[in-house]
Amino acid sequence: MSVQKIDEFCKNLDPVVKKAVRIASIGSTVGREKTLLEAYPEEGKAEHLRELANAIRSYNWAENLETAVKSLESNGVKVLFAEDADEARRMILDIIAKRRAKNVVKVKSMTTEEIELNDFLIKNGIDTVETDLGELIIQIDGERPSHIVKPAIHRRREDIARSFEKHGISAYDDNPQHITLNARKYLRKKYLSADVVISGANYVLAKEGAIVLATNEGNSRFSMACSKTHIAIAGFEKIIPSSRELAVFLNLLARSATGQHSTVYTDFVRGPGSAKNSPQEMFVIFLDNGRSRILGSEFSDILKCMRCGACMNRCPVFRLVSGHAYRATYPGPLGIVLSPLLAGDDNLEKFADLPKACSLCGACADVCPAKIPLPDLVLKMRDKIKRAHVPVPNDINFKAWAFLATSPKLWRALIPLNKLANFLPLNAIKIGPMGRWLKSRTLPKLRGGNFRKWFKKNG
Amino acid sequence: MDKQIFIDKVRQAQGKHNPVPMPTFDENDTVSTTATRGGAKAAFMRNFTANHGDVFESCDSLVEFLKSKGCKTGVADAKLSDLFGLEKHFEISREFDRQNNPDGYDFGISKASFAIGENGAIVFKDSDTADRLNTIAPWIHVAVVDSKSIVSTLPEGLAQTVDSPYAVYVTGPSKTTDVEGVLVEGVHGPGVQAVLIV
Repeated sequence: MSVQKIDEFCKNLDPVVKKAVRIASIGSTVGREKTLLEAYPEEGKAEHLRELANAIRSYNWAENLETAVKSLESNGVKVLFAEDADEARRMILDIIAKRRAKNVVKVKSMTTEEIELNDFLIKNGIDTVETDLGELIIQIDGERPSHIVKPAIHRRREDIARSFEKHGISAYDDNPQHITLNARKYLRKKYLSADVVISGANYVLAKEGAIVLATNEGNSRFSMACSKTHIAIAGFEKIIPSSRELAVFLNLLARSATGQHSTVYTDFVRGPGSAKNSPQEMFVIFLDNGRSRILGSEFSDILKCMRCGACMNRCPVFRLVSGHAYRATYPGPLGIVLSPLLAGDDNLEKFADLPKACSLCGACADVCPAKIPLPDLVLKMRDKIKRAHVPVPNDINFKAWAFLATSPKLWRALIPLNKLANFLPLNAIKIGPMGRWLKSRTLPKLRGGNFRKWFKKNG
Repeated sequence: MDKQIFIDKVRQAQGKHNPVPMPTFDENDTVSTTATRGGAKAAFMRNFTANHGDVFESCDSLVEFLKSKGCKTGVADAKLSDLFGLEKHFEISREFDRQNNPDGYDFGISKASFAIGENGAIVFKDSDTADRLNTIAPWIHVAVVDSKSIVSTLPEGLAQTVDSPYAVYVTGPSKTTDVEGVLVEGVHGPGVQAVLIV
């Protein structure tokens, strides 16, 4: 039996990192409870909002997309469509190259992580800088985010300070306040010399033709004050009908994500700006990258995700193993379902072990602001992987048991034999997983096997 | 990818599910009674302050505050018509000099389009702002809010937000907890976000 990759990762994880991830996750979960209860003390009101957030995105995907495209275009936005990551990356590079632009600032976006945009642009000679502090910290060291809201949750202040020194951002200083101020100075130069800003979109409002961005740092507003061209990339599932529905989502997003009543900045961008320092042109790229396939499948509920991170913050497995253990853009319960789907059926093997990193405790579904039935989806994913006959490491072979359980006569004949287990020298097993398991446990004496006899007589 | 093919793929996928009726909801379903209590202005002041924003109701107290922070120079947005006598105490530019002096202003002051009680947000629309940099680049930023323009709930606010090319809600100083979860204010934008209610 081979060890699962996720267990191996957890075993080798720095204890300090482990503790940091645990504290941050628990803090966000507690903050979520507190702020939702403060805002909605009335019985069932928060629950009703979550139901609405789910229902609003069960409806009219194609119609919303059509409306959004029309409104955006009439607002002067150029709308493009990318089938996959490769097409999206090439589109973006093309826009940048045509403008002979060299400097790009990025506003934190999981979608750009998903299409691995930064490396691609940098390889093509474009200076691409993440402006969210957490994203900047991991970008300079070539890491992936380990959490979708707190990308650098796994990093310690000392090694952040060392990285800043190594990459010429500032001299070594590990005071968090000073790290932030040093990043402020460094990024200010980047903003002021930026030609293009690339962002994602938390929501797209179909009726108004606007994208909505939520940040705490204000990097969205600063980037959009300085650059001449704004490119936003969004999966089509980010579209909601109008700003009326947005009230439902804005009331859930920050509370679920970080336990704040609202983010500090919420930007509404409808097209090229009219203020003195503002983008003169705007592009919105709608991305499919497997989403239409997911929409047409039994996993369509996962598209209602608003990327708040509440599921991973609450997940007992995530709290132990941290985000990088999931080996993909999206970790935690969300990643268990989404990573194999995005990888596609041909690459199922890559993430086939992930659905086992779940105890089906159901906590993620309890906190999901869109009421996505995550444990059901995890079960469906296990089933999908099983049916695809993909090898899964550490998979226990149930073939013999399945054979017995589907042969009633044999099953009945063998039942009285279970008492034999009482004579097995179990305590003699000292090695392997069984040995470890038995070290701290004693089995009670098996006394079963008589029910059928009793039932025949008394039933 | 072609637009029509993209949309058709979505439509085809959506067709595999039974149509779900769009839920109807009342605006009040989303409104927090606790966050909006006490009326629009009181709610705004309470929620804005909770996010570490500073609220001033008189020019004198604002001047005193800016002086206590060591302010000498400021930049006032061109669309702000009244400077409330600040020009007597500080050297104030009417234009943000991005080229030569982007870090040269101790504070910025601009007109807010309106404010919202429920989430304690000041709103800047491009239609009321001459230069976005005034609001985001200086360490201290003051937003001038007309007390009559404060609405109570988020749905009321949203109804008058998305009619400009760009609008932004600001609920306090720019902040992060990205380094070991420690709260630090003043990341890219203002470390001090104040409001002058007139």
